[in-house]
Amino acid sequence: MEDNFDQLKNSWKAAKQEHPTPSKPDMLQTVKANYSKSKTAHIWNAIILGLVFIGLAAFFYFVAPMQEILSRIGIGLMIGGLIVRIIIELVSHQKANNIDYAAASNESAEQARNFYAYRKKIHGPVTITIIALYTIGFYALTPEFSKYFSTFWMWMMDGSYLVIGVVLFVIIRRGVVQEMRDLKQITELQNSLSEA
Amino acid sequence: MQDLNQRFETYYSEYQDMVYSLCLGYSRGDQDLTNDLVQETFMNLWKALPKFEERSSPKTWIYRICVNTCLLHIRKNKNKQTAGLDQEHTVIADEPSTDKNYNELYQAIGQLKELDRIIIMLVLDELPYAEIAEITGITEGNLRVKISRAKQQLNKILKSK
Repeated sequence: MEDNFDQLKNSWKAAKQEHPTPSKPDMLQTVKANYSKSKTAHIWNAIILGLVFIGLAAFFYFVAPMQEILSRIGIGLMIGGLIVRIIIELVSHQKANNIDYAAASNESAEQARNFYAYRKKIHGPVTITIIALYTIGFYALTPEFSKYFSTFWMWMMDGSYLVIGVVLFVIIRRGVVQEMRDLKQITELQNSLSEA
Repeated sequence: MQDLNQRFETYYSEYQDMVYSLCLGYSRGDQDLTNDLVQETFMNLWKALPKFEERSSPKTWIYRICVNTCLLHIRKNKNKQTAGLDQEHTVIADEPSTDKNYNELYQAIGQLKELDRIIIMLVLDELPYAEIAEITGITEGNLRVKISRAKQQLNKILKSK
């Protein structure tokens, strides 16, 4: 067995010599650019959600100031849900950023597992609650809106929410399934790091 | 910042071969994946650099970053990569390589599980067991068991060729 392994060791050394590293003189610039791009992408997510929040708030403040208490509760639920969602996104980003790649592998895997476990929690009761409250908030606007719009437009409005809801459900579900698969694989990695 | 730039450049020029060969072996010779892993490793190094005070050896520190980048990266893309495994091997075999052993080497290592692949490459790089244990966080006792098992498996693979 050792003979074969020594042979493998020699091949490994030879392969290193025969196939030199393709050097990249501008690696520092590439790394800096990629690093700032990854940071900016997350900031943009929060900015977009923030803009939706501002748009929604401005719409109900300037364009359609609702008068009834039920409608105001509805607006509160919708905007509140969005704020909670933005906070979750920022916390998620922070947690992902805190995975220490310079730690020993078992620690890094543990941090990565904790991150995905947190995401699992978020995808479960938290997301369902946010969506439920947002939906209740949306339909709570219906009675007051129906005073100003015809039944046809009310059906259109409520119906389009359902369509958007189904599309969002499919997209979100795909992401959740992927993340749960990641969690399973990281847990397997963690187990293999701890067992003999 | 100037100091960080200089340190990065020093580490890059000193350890790029080490990082490259580990990533290449881990990706079973897939050049595109190797380039991604190398870049990601050095991006993680850049991110961790301000906190690194050189109390431990830079080599061990960089090995850790590289090993973790590989393990967590592959986790992210495992399904895609596994699906392409046969194709990757074909690509390697079809290259007009100068050395048949070179192809066999990556094929043999590539048949091990991800963690075993990493460990065996660290052994091939002649790292002391204590250092491998420090990098992976595996106890030395467990590490010896894993190494012995991986060697046996490699032996079987090589014999079957």
